[in-house]
Amino acid sequence: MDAHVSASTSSPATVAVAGEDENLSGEAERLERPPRRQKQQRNNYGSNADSPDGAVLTVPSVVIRDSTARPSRLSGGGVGGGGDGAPGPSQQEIEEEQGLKYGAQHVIKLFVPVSLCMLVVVATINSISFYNSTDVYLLYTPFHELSPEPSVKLWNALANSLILMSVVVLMTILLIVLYKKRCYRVIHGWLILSSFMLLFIFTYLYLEELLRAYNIPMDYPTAVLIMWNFGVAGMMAIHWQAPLRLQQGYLIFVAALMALVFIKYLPEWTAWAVLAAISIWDLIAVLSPRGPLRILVETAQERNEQIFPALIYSSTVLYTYMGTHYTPEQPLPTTTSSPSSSNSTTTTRATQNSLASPDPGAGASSSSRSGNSRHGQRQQENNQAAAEGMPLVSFKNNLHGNAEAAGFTQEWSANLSDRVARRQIEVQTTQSGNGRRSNEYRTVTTPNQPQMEAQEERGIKLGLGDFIFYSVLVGKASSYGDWTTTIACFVAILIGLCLTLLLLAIWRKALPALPISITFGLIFCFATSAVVKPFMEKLSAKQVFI
Amino acid sequence: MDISKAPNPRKLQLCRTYLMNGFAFLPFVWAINVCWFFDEAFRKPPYPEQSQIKRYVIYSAIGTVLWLIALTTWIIIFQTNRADWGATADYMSFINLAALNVHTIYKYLDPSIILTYDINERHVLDKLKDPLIKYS
Repeated sequence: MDAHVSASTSSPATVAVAGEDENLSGEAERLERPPRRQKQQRNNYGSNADSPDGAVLTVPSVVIRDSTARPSRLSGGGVGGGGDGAPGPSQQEIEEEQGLKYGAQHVIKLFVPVSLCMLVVVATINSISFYNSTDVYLLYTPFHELSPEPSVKLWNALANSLILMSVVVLMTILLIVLYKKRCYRVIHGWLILSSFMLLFIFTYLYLEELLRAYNIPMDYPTAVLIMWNFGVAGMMAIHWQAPLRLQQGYLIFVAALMALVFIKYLPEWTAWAVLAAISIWDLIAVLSPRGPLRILVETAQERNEQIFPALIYSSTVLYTYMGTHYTPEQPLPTTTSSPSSSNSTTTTRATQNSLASPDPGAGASSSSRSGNSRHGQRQQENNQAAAEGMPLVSFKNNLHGNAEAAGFTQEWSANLSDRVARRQIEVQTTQSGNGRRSNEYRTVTTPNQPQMEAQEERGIKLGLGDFIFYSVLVGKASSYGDWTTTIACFVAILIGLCLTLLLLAIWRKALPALPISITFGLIFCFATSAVVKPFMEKLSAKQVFI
Repeated sequence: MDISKAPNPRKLQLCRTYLMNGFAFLPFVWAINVCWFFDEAFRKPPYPEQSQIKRYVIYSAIGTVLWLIALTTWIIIFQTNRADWGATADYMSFINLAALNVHTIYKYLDPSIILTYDINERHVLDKLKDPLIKYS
């Protein structure tokens, strides 16, 4: 169903109309979920313990509020939503319903790509034996776990994961430093180089193994042509403009490739240890006050920029079109999903252009999703219906040097610094540092400004690092050959994802997307293989069906 | 990106860029161009840039079809004549079935066994699966 709600007027009637369009689904969803007080979420943004629906997270409800309410709302919600338009209860219900509906929709929108990525990884692991065997190791894992004793393996794994994590931390800090110093070109160059390597070299290896596994002969000219086409189209899709589905597909593929590389080149116990360690690191980096990722987020918010034009999977496109009174130099529609710097800067510029006051509408920039639409409103703050400033849930993938694939250690070491900076993922709702900004990612055009219309699609974004580590978990589980474990891990990860989104709605601040899912995944994986599998085997041996 | 929300000059620009890029041995880019702008060119109500876009889409479609024919022809020629061409075919082969490393099957034995066989006698491979057969 269409996730865009284009509210065309600011009047409550409009909201009602918009709401009616999706009545049925909204109703259904509303019934399922306990109604949360929507007012809270509007008024006390993020500071209210009364959490709005998780669904609301990603989808800002179409709230029409007058402009005066907005600033207060945005300023940490302390104001209690004073002057928040106070739409009538029916409007609240409608908004809540929409919020619910869209929120759930967005969660579902994330399920599909995450599942696809995992599917690709599992299918590859099961059919191409190349990825199951580890005979070449990464430079970063000098301890190869070749000894049969568990204690040796254990300390090998711990040492390896320590080394890897320290590289990741270093990369993250390097990235933050670069970002603070505004060395954007370096960062962009880094990202382009990484995705170039991933799209060409690792895809070439993948193609080779795929053909070998299925005994399909191919000649060099054809292979080169295919690789060239695939790679160039991929670079265009990821870094520039391309149809949304294509871009999403490429991002999923790239994440799957990375996950395969991790699975192949990390020794057994190291892989599990790295998963656990990176979840903990994610937690620390995003939530602690001195955490690098948090610094990154805040810096980006201060600068009203998109946090990273890096690899982030987005389910919709951010677009904005200017109304008649926009200045001609305003940028053209931007797409969130393509983390191109042009997009982010466009968004930023657009926001800034339209803002009379230097509101960091760009907060949305981080969420690129957000609203461009806001520009319109910003202009006329005084009499606008503000789009609600739902925090933008954006799972960001912090690419530190894009350490994508594991490669052959020799050629890799050169690029390794790129690679390892693994993705810190954060689920982020960008809230503006200043009171004014909203991460609204939805805009409601106010009736008072008929000429201005900015519309934004609601969407949700998830960082690619999340995809990668989820897929590593499921891929490793499936490499043991047991489908029960694989499916258990898969379900655990999806549950974790839902929970994370829920927490995001509650807390409305940047949240890491890895810890919960990975924890659940690890627990389920080991529990299933240790408890459920023998149980099922016993049952089927005795022909008892439950 | 969502093409429907872009302003028309931008769409034209994008279409043209994709068309130009496709000349660099990139039929895939042309195919993307066709799929992406098909609606814009043929199914939307007319707007000033539409005729141009239509033209670009048609060029891209022609280019894609030509490349497809050429590629298919080449692949067919190669696959059917691979054995006949001998050394040349091997040189060109990206995946070469003429030499198979069978260590995955017989890794308990010497993992470096390389099995070479005539391509026309691939049935030899089936015998490998039988663990009772000994090979010298």
